Amino acid sequence: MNTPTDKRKKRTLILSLAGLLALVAGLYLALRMQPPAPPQLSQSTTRLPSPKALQSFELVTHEGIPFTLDSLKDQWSFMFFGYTNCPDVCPTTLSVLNVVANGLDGTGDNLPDTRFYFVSVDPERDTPEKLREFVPYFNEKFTGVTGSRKQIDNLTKQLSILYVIGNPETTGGYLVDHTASVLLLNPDGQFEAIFSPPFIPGNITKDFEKIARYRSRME
Amino acid sequence: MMLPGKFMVSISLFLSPVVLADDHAFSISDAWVREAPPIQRILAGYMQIRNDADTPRKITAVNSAIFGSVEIHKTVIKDGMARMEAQHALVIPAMGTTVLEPGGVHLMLIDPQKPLQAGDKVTLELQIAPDETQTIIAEVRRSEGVEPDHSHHHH
Repeated sequence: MNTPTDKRKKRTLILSLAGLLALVAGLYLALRMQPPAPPQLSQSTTRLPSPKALQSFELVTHEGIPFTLDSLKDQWSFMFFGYTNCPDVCPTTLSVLNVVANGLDGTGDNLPDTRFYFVSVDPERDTPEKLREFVPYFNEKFTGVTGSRKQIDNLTKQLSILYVIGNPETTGGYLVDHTASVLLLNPDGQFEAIFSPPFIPGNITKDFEKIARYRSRME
Repeated sequence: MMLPGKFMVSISLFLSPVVLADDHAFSISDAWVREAPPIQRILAGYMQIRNDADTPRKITAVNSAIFGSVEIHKTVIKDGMARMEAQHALVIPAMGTTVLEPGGVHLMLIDPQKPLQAGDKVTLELQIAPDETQTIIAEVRRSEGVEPDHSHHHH
């Protein structure tokens, strides 16, 4: 038997349940509308607060294929600047990037494709043929990039990459000082983050995944 | 019987260099040369050099028949740029260890006289002041990234 008191009690219960539901829904919406917090990255990784768009550039890969701003679209790109006659820093960094690439291969995880580029700042010596003999040695998926001095400068200036061609050595060669960092460009071809040495491959992999997830949440 | 006596003499002559090994200026460990694609005309060599003496010892030069020349360099990162600084000498502190490693002090091995592959052995001769040499063998290795043994060295 439902007495009037019972009915009143039921109505109160339904109303308070509805209220609670509204509260939860409101909180949920409020949280959703708040932008996700920027990713917490390791000390040697710096994400640009707003990614930097690039102007068009024209270079060539070690396979002789044009390498332009469009080549960066729809995938994340790791980019390192150096030269093939570099005995310590460049092979060390390319070996680190090989570990990073192998680490990413295993995860998949809905991340878009990643590419790895080694851009020469020593075009007088680094022809596409020479890069073909050098870059794929570290990982056959890695791509060497070169061009004329002017074409290279067009990209290095936009990315704040510095290099200084050294004086000729007694042995006939010369060394090149160059920015030691690895850059990350996003699938819109924008400059997104900088990884600075000393490199720890595991940190680069983790930070890249955080940056890529953050970006996909923001879209 | 004369034979055993003679035999003993020759054995002791044969052993003497091994005994002398303890008198070498340095204990060298983990000496290796990074394998590189054949196109690369400059390789890098790394090792750990321990000086057990109570005085610092100085390496003034490194020679090798397998390379056109050998230089000691240090990779320095300054204002974000990697720069190679030639070292005219390498001083190993008294009772101390100097580590030559990727991204730090290294041997620059210029113009290999033959192709080198992982597993090959390379002979290097350290010239130590004032007038001593020490021969070491370094193994050519393919580096797959950061050396796990060295991961605790941060610069």
